[in-house]
Amino acid sequence: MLQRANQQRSSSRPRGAYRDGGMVVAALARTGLIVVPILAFVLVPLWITSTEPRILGMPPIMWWILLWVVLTPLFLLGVERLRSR
Amino acid sequence: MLGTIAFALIAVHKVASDPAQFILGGRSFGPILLWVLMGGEVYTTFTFLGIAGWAYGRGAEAYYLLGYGALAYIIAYLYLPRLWRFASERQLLTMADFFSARYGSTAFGAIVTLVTTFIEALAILVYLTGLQILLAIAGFGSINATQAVLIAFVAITFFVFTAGLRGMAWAAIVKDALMIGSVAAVGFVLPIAFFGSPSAMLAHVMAMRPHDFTLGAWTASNGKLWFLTTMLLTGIGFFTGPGTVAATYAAKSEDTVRRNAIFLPLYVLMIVPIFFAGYTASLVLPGLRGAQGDAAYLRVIQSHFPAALLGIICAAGVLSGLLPSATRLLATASQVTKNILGDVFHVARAGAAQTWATRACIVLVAAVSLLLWLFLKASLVDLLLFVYNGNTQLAPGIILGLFWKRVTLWPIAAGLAVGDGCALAFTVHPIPLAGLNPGFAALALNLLVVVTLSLTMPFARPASKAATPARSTVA
Repeated sequence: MLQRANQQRSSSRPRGAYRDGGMVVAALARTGLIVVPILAFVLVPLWITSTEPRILGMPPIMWWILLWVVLTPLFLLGVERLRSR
Repeated sequence: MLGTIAFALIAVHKVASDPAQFILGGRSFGPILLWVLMGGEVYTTFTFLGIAGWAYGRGAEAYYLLGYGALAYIIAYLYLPRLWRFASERQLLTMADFFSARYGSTAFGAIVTLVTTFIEALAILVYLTGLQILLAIAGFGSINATQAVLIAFVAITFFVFTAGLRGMAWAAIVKDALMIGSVAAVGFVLPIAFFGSPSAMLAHVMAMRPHDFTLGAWTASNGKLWFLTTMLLTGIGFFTGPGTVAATYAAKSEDTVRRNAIFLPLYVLMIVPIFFAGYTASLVLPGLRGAQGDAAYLRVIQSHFPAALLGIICAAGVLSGLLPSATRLLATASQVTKNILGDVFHVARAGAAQTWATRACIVLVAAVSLLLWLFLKASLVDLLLFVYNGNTQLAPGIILGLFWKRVTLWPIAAGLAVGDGCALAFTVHPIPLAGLNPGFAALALNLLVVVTLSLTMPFARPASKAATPARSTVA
């Protein structure tokens, strides 16, 4: 968000452009794509209270974190896509 | 191992004695070199020994090791490209250069250098110890600890002395290939040999240690609060050391840095087989404590498998200690040369003189680590914690410095003093912090000082552009 705001300020585009609906949505979407994996790593494991259900024999805490290790690049690619528009 | 060093030397045989070449590889690293150089931070002797030890003897808190790397890259994606831009616009060479340039004080750069040199000397000591354990096991008891550390010390110093950053990156490719291969082999061979499959092995572990797969109570030691704060601390602090910052500077472009941060999380996948190895060892050879547990799976291999397998794994492990300590050593030595000798005493400021002074400092810093190892053996484990906790205190100076114009020299300096002071105090005199990670507590106090002082101090718009954070010109 901060990065976005700075970029806006230093660009030659008029300030009003930031209120353009599409850009606000894009900025929100990017923030979401960053925040969701962070919360998935940091908060969700706190509420894992069982060794079930298992995936490929792995306990939830293991497959959950692994799943997000794999998903993180996809989320960051999403951010990258929205940024380059 | 010798082959790798030879390979690195061949790769760099024509590198000039230009310091930017020696320290930053000429700022020309494409995605692959940068990937292995940064990924090297994930694959260290700690991966080989420490992570297996955590899986062996700890509960669910061990899973922070699986998650924090990916978390670190998300955070890195947000600020490393900006750091690269700031550095390349000003032709910065070291991490302390960033502090000098951003906060307009070479004295502060020199202080940051002193603090990080101390921390990095301890970090190199950690690697020396790891190498010693591996060499002792690989030698089947024929090498004693002091000999092993001396061998490790000579190998590291010689390697950094001759290779420079580019040589290290090339060597890192070999090291990573060897490591990925051996880690995957061990992680799957061990459970298959003893239990038929990794999932059957996991089922055994879960039956034996059902409580080791869910986190403890909120404020318990190593409980939920610890997991949360440790994830955040290690995620934030992952890239705030002289070695990783220099690796960032070495990238060819901002885009390279960004793409790296996107795909580096996948590197973390290789930690999974190490968990498997540690868990298998805990079933096959239970009851070991502390550092013994770290090497438990190597002992299992030693007694149940051909010596060649152990040899390959120990070779990969030794390289995994050699390369990260080499990058750290180079970055630390170049900081001492540039930010203390050059900026404070005005000697060896450019060209071949700077490269040679850096080489002299490499030997000096490595010698300090060796001396620390000889004298501090007993309290090693405590000091190791200080390495990470201490380096992370630089994060406000780097990250806030890039994004918030209001932060200036004094708030950051005060925050760093408070943060590192607390980190050291919590290390020397551990006090219960309701399960909080002590380094995180120190970082929180650091941040509190920085933000409070920044908001209360009168803010004059900086006159020169040199003191403001780099900003992009195109949205």
